[in-house]
Amino acid sequence: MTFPRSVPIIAYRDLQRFWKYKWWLAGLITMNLADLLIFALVFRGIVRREVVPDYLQFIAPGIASIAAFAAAFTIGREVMVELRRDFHHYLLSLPISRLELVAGRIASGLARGLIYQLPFIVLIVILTRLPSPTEALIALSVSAMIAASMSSLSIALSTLARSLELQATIRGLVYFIVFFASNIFYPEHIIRVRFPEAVQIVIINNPISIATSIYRHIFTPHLVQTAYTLEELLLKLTLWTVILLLVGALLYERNLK
Amino acid sequence: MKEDIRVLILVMLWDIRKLGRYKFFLAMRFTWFLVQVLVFGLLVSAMVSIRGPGGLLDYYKFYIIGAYTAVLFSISIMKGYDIAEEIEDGLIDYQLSLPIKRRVLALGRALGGGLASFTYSTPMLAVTILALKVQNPIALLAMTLVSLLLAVSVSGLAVSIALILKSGDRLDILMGVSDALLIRLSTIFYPAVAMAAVSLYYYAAKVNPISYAADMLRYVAEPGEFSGFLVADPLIMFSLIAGFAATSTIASIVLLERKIEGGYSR
Repeated sequence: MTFPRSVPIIAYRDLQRFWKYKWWLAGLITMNLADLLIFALVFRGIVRREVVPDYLQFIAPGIASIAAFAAAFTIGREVMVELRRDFHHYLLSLPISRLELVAGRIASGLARGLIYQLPFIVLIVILTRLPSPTEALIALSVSAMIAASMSSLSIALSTLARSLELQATIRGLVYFIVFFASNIFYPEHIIRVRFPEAVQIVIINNPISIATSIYRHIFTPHLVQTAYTLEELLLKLTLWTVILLLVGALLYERNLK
Repeated sequence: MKEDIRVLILVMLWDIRKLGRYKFFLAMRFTWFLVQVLVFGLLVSAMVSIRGPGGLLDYYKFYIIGAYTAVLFSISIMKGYDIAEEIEDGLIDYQLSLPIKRRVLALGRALGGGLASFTYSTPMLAVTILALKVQNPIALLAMTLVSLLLAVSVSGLAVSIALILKSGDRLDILMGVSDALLIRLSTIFYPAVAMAAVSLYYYAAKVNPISYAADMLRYVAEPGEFSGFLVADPLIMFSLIAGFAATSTIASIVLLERKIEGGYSR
């Protein structure tokens, strides 16, 4: 079986459209940079050193995770609008299989996430350390997994309701919950102190938390505060990616019928 | 005069009654606020230590008011943008056909946006009041007044900017950037004293009206707790908030009137 040519074409078409949202992108970049260069810098001065020795370095890997997440998540909005406006009928009339269409959309989210995240990874390297080639490969695979899983999640959410407003609300809520209920801003021992075990498990095993912990293993090993080894974290993220890819693809495919 | 006031109230109520249109947006903002307060606030307050002239700061209480101010700011920006969009869509034609004076219509739309924003934010204000256990009726009244002034200021400012920019794209970026920068360069998340290490941020917070609104709310809610962490003297803060509200309302009235007079085509 050969790799279908249509998948990269669909992904490329979606990627071209991504750059059209230049104003939205400018806002997102400003927000991510402001979190790092204003919020984290001020917090570095007020967070107790025994809790986090350097808050700027602590938060930087989390900003990289959120950058890939936010960019990959945008694909869901387009899928939502297409389904709502019946544009998918046109897409289905093209000489491509449904599976190729679904794969193309997920690949597009993946590309958006990776490209948008790259400057933030460079910024982390400047702020922390240069990873070894093996570590760089692991970081790249984590970025790919987080972008693919989040674009699948976004597509899955976009197929849940017919109302545009309701869909936007659901996507917004999931975004906020994944963002705040993660370990981006707080170390895991603080989560353990404040919340019961069930909530703690949910927060620590959120895919964004897992990706952030792996980035911390790579870029800020002196600030790693997780009970899991790198191998365990990679396994968990792989599982999340497979599950979300399947759910996203199945729901999107079902809605195309 | 009496009739003008009656019409003004009707125009303002018209804005508030559109609550149903925003039910999903408001549900999202309310959940966002709860997540901020119940997750972010609780966890971060266990990590930070801020000492001021009056001793250690209770960061959780500090943060709840900051989160409410951020939500109110965001709703007011959205409301102002919405009013400008309605004008763009030609709704003003219908409103001009009504027996309403132009100035009353412009004033009603400018104030209505702020009043509606404040009304939409009341569930979050109620959570804030409950969490801080504010019982003093004067403090409750003062919190309402300060919140209302901030809502009127920000929605007036958003209407003015929307009318000046005349471009949805440019407005989107300005709103996004201002949301990101104004919130972070204010005393929403951290007191001014904590920003002193980076002088650029410190002085930005010192001139940011959102800092004044957030700190004024803190001061009226719990003067004993927050007196040592304010961006300025309470009287100065209140004067600046009132001045900001008056200036942005006048600016939006002038621009709205000009828009009506000169036509709304872009």
